[in-house]
Amino acid sequence: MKHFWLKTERGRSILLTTLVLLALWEAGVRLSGVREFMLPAPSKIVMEFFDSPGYLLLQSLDTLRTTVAGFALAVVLGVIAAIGIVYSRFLDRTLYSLLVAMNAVPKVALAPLFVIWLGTGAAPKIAIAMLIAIFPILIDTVLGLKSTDPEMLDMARVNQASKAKVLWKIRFPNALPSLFAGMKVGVSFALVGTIVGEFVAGGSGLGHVILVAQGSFDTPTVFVALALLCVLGVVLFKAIEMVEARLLGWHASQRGPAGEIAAVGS
Amino acid sequence: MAGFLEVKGLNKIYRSKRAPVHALRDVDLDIPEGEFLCIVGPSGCGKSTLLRCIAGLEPISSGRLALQGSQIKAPPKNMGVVFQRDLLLEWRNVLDNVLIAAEFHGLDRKSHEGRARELLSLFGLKDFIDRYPRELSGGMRQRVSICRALLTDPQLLLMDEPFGALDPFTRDELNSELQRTWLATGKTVVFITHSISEAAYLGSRVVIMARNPGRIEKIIPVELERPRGLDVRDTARFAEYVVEIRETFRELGIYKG
Repeated sequence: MKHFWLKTERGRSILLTTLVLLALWEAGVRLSGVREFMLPAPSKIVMEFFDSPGYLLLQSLDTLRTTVAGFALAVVLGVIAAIGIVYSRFLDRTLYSLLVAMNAVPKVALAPLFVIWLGTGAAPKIAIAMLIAIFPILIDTVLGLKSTDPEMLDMARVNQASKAKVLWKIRFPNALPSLFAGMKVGVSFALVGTIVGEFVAGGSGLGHVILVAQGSFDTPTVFVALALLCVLGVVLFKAIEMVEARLLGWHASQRGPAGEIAAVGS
Repeated sequence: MAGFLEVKGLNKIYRSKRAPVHALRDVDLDIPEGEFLCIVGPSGCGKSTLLRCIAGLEPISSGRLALQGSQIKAPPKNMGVVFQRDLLLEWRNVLDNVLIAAEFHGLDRKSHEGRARELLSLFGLKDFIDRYPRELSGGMRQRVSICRALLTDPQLLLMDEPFGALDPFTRDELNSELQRTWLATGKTVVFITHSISEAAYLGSRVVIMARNPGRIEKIIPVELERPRGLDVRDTARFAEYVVEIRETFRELGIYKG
């Protein structure tokens, strides 16, 4: 990471912009005399973190775990449902239409219901994270699976390919770019779902930290939690991008500017 | 005895909201084993539809369509198809793109790898076995797709304007490579093109199709000895065939000049 910040033009400008904004924030708070519980200075937020780093990191880890669990569940269920929808006209008409209608419901509003059903442990939080993350994943995967080149399917047919082979060797790899697009949106949604779950179900996690700190007007702690959430969000997003770059080296979206890989011979 | 591939009174009618479209009308064609048959015609004459029917990808409306005596209802097993586009899988390298034919057929990959390598070097792709499609030129990509079609050693090879998108030089090269492969293996080939000279160069017979409705207008046997070098196209006898085919199209009103 150090290399990135110092070596690339982009890295340097990101670093510089961040430092300038933090400096302005710090100066603004000190000069205006705004009270700490309204807006703490960055230095105060950093100090707040180092006051109890172990506790805060543990809560971050808890949030991370819930998010990853909810997200993983969303990917597995979303992909399975998408395959079902693409292969079955019945499911396409029933499940897909139903899911699209359900997508219109603000899913955070369902959070209290999950607490009633699943109690106050990790389960309701994971369920909410999953429920919010599954929609972009499902919808993008359906789109990806459906947009397979029909001639490619002819090619498979004349080669006597079974339905299962067409799915795994043609349709699914073909849908991967869409699946990853859905996963990138989904992982941020999963984090939102987790925080909502922690607000409602309580107990642990950064959402819970924020809620408790708010109760005692401990604004610096709220900001620490927000900063940690920001880090979590970026890390999760980058992790998916890395897997994507690994798996989709063949896809146009993963290649640099045109002409980087020149055709050889004739 | 009936031919290897038998087409008799074949009709293909597409139902549409307006009047039904007669894509193929009363097509008769008897193709003996080992023939290189070229079908030439303007776009809309149903030549690709005919190929799709033979490939078992398209049901026929009436008539008889049989390969080695048995009715074609689904894609036959001993058939390879080269499409207009190469249809390579971008996430597989050249060797794996060829081997997918074995995987799809439910055949052992290992035992076909040797043959895949052999075919690829026959088509001059020996040094590109582990490259990805995006690294290849159009001509090389189409060569890979030909190797894929040949992997399972099919008796019947269907080719739907396979060189239509290539530049003339690459097209010449592939034409002579294809002739060489055909002479060496004796496969039955049905080759669709819109190039008159390509049809006359490759074909043992050239089938001329006309449109509205799609039908066979004339079949011209091309009696030039094999192997034909590319320079056969500069001979007077070759020119006669080309003129005869072009004349037929002129009579049909396809050439206005």
